[in-house]
Amino acid sequence: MTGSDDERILREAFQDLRRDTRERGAVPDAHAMLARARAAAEAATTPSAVTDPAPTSTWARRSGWLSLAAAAAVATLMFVDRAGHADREFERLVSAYSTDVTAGAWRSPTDALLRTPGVDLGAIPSFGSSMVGPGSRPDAPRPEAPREAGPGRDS
Amino acid sequence: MSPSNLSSDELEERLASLHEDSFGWACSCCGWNETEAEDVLQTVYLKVISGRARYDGRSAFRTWLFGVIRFTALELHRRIRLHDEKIDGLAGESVAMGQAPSAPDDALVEARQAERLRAALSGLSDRQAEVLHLVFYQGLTVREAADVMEVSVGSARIHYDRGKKRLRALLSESEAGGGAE
Repeated sequence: MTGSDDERILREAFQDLRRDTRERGAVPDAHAMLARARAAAEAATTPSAVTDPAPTSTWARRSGWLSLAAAAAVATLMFVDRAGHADREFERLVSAYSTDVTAGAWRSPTDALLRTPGVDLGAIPSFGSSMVGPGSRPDAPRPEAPREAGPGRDS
Repeated sequence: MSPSNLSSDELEERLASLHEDSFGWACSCCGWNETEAEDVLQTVYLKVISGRARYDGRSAFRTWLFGVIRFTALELHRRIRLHDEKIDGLAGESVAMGQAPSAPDDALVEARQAERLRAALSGLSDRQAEVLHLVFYQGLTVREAADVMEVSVGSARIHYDRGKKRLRALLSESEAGGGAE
C-alpha cells in the first residue's frame, strides 16, 4: 500500500468523522455561544451591585482590619512580656552572682593538697615597719623629742 | 475590547463562520469529549470577545484561533477532567443515544467508522493526533499545522509521518477485529 493510498484512506476517515459530528447535531449553536460570551464579557467589565454588595464588603473589610489589629496587639503583648521576662531573669542571675562571687570562680579540686602543715615557716619574717620613713631624711626637721623633766633642769 | 484591526461584529462573524471547524478542533484537543470541547470553545469565545486573546494579524485568523483553542484546551484539560467525571459519563450516554436507533444504514456505517477513528486516534500521541486532525479534518498544510501546534515544520512533519503510519495500522487492526466479531 502506497503513501498516497494511506492519505486517501485517512482523509476519507476524517471526513466521515466530520460528517458524523455534524449529523449527530453535536456541534453546539454558534450564535448562542457567542451571545453567552458577549454577555459574560460585558458583565465582567460592568461593576454590578448584585455581585458586590457594598454593606457586606464594608463589614467584611472592617472585620478583617479588626481581626488584624487584634492579632497584632496579642503578638505585641506576647513579645513585650517575653522580652521583660528575659530581662528580669538576667538581672536575677547577675545579682545572684554578685552576692556570691565564689559561685562563679573556678576552684581547683586538688587545691587542698597544697595546704600542708608548716607551710608558713618558709615565709619571709616580718621586721615591723620601716625605720626609714618619710621623716627620716637628714635635711628634714626631726620631730622634737618630748622634754623629760629631769632633776637638774628647770624645776 | 476587540482586536484593533477588527470590529467586534467582524470578529463575531469570523468566529461564527469557523464555528464548526473550531468545535471539531476543540474535540480533537479534548480527546473527543464533546462536553469538554464545548466548555473550551466557550472559554475561547469569551477570551476573544473580551480582548484577553487578541488577533494581531501575524498569521491567518483560523491558524491564530486554533492556537488559542489548543492553548485553552491544554490549560483547562486537566482541571475539567478532574472535576467533571460525571459530565464525561453523560456525554458518553448522549453519543450512544444519538447514534443507533433511527439512523439509516449508511449513516450507521459512517457512525461506526467515525467511532473507530476516534478510538484509533486515542492510540496516538497528542502531537500525532493533533497534526493528523489539522491536516485531514481541517485541511491545513503541515506548515500551518506546525504554526497552530507551535512546533517547527520539521517536527510537525515527523509527527505527521509517524502518526499516519500508526493510525493506518490501528485502523487495520480495528477492521480485522470488527470483521472477526
